[in-house]
Amino acid sequence: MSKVWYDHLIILEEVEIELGKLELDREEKRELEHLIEEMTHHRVMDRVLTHLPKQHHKEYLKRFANSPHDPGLIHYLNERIEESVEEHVKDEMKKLKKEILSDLRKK
Amino acid sequence: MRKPARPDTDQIRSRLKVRHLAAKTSLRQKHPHAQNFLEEAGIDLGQIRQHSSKLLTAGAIGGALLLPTAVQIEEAKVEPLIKRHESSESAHYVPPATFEAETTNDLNLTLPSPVAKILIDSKTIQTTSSREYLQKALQTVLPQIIDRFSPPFLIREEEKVVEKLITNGTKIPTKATLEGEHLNTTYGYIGAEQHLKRYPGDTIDKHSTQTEGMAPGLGGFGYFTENGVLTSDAIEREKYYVVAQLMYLPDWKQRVKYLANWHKWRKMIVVNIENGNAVVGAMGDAGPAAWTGKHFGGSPEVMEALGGPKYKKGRVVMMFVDDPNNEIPLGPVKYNELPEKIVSAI
Repeated sequence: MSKVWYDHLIILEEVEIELGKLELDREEKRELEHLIEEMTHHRVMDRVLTHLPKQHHKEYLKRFANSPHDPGLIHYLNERIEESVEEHVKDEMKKLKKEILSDLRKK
Repeated sequence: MRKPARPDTDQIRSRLKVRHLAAKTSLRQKHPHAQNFLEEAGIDLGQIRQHSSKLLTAGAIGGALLLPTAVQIEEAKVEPLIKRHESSESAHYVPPATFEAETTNDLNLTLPSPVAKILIDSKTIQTTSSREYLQKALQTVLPQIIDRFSPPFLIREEEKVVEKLITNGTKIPTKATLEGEHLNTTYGYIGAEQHLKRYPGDTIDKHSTQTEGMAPGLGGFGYFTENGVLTSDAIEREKYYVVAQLMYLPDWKQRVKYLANWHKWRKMIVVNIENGNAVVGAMGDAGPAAWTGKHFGGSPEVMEALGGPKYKKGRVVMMFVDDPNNEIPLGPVKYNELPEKIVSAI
């Protein structure tokens, strides 16, 4: 079930595979998954607000707080952001994925 | 050949923690007004999924109160499910269904067992529990999942239709909400999990199947033994364990002790939408993370019961089994047993 409007743009399958390779015990794995989960939300919010003109910030935050899952937020943002917000989120997640993979693979 | 050294998990955790902190700090520094707004609204951005669950749950209950329910459910009318999802971006249009629940056993027959068996084997009469019936019904009523990262959300009213269909199809009392508790979601994708340690020193070769291997650590509820004893119930629980995203329950943090205890080994039913196979399992852990695109997990045996030995991921419904007297066994649902009324009448 979609809980945030950008759920479908968070594609971190490679991270899941890499975590699986580490043979972490379940508690450790859940802890790392939780950190990654939290990071996605902060990074998306940061990216969105950076590209959304400041006069719309308050309204967006209100709408987001009232219904974070609302797919209408995509439309709302796309009308106010120059590039497509989906592309912004995808790009941010791509960067995050690269960083996390590097953290996981580093010796 | 030497086994590669286990990674230093402390270092990995530290690196991710630093990155996590950097993400939070960046947001706070670049957009302090956003941070202030969220704090004033009592929202922790990292826990936005739980906040959203709370809002959706409240909305679902409110919505359900406005809808006529009993008649639709009794008649297994499925239009409300389809119509509501027509406009959803994450659903295909499905033509309004003409499907009617096949209540094949309203037979008030009292037949001797051998006669009943012959009639069933020859398909002169049908068994009440029909896998095909359930498969067809669920495929009709449930919207497609276009994007596995955001499957459609079933409101309470829709869940009631689904629970009725599963109860009719499997003869297992099924509830989306039990004793006031509800899962984060009841419809989504299940993925294969590893075996879990049932007791200290348990190894994979002691399990009936070795596929997927054994998780290095314990499940969220610890060992499966009862007072240190590996009972037959404990063996069955591990064999047929399932996982759901308990950590995203809206009140998980506030009620963690109660909820963990309530969900531990809770009997669940999982139905594969594609083939109607169903299995009764026991809740054995919390997971998987939302960003994996999966919503539930199943032990190797659960996955095999749902889709055969190569089944690793698929679209399912997962709900509670209402079994206060602990009468329903764990394991695959057997659809083709003799109809209850006929057998009990002998």
